[in-house]
Amino acid sequence: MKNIKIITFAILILTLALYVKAAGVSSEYYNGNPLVMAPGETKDIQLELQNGVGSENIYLKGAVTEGNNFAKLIDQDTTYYVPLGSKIKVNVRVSLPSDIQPGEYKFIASFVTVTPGETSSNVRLGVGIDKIVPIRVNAPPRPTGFAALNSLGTNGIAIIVIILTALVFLIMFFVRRPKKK
Amino acid sequence: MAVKKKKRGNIKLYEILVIIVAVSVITFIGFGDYLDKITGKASTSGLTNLTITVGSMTLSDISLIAAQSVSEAATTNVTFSFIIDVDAGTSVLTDGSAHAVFNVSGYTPIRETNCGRQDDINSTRANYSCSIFVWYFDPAGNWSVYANISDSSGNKAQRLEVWNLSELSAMVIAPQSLTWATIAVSAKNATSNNDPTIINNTGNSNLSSVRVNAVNLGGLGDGSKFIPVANFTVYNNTGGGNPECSTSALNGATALVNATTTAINGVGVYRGNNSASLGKQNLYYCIIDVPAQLSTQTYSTNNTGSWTISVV
Repeated sequence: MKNIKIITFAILILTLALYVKAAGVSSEYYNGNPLVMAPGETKDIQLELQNGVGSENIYLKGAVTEGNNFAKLIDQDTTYYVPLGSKIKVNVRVSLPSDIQPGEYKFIASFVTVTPGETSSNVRLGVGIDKIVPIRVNAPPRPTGFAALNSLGTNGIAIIVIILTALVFLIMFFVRRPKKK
Repeated sequence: MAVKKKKRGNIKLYEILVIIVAVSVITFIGFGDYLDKITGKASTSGLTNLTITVGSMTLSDISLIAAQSVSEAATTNVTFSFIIDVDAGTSVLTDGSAHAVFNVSGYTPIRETNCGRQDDINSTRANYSCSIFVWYFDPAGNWSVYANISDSSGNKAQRLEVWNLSELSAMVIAPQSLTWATIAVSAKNATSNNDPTIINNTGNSNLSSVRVNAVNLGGLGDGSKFIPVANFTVYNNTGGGNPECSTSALNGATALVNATTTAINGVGVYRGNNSASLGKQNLYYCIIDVPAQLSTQTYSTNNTGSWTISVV
């Protein structure tokens, strides 16, 4: 027992328990109401940061932590100052590659409080929110009318013309063929 | 006769050609798409409305309710208006019957309110305004608003529309720090003396996972000494035998990993009224082993960064 050293922890609990830390992220798109897009499409959407019930102003550092190959935060500064009681918009651009397969996708936008290092306690706690934004990629609509013809390209149109011409000649051949007596 | 026959033959030929060309063009430019769309299934759209007219009253319009977002741990006042047309004149309307209800499939309670007459647009058209409080734990989704009003003869007009309530992932933690009392080196299973960290879900999203990203606790005097965060465990339970120190049980306490976001076993925070003790979780902390080689000093996250409790 004599050799046991003592590890001293600062025990300055004092006012610490009085304080709370809060953060919130709101999205118009969620499971059951995904962001619907088509391959090759780009959309700008907004998330909303909230600091409604904390005890202090906070800074939230944002990043897209999953799906950052097609979603990114487009605000100049991605560390957001969120005063107590306020709501702050976050701008996100979602750009889908044109060769993406139709299906369900998602990106995750993560926001973490920027917490000062100095503390009188052993462990300072911050909070973080991971917001999942689901994306439904629909197949592009099949073009109709002139758009359909355009979509066929020069070769496609040429093929159609050739087939139609062949049909015309075939019909003319049968119609004009002299009847056997 | 021969000329006539030849002409008739040419006309037939042209008719056939025209039909072939028309059929080909229609086929190629996608008439089949229209056929594809004819199915037995009703189409759906984001917003719908339904108007029912009874007698000579028509509730002709409910103002568009933009996508709404709940506010953390608070109520949100959603305001809208509706217009009622009544042939007999607005004087026959019973103001006290103007009523509106919000609800979403599979969820109770409904949110409802009485509406008040704002003004008469003309002698047969009146404008009513309604405000309904939505709570922070009311689920995201396509909510229906159902408005109705009666006249003095008991005729009733009603209308239904749909609007979108956004999803808010939010939480509040208290306290903002953790402390331990003085501990001897080589001590085992030392629990925090200011836990639990109380987590309240202050939004309307079910938070399926609670994670802790923790870092080693460095010595404030001798920075070369530190308590590895791997020696810390977290659990949502405490009591006799300090279960927050035991990682052996199935779904027991979770050992933390330095600078890594680690999900706490089986801990989520579902939405609910915090005042009714719903939507809450407690986290308890333990140092399962204080390394023998530590020197006597204060250890903290001052020089290593804070811990982050995050949710998804």
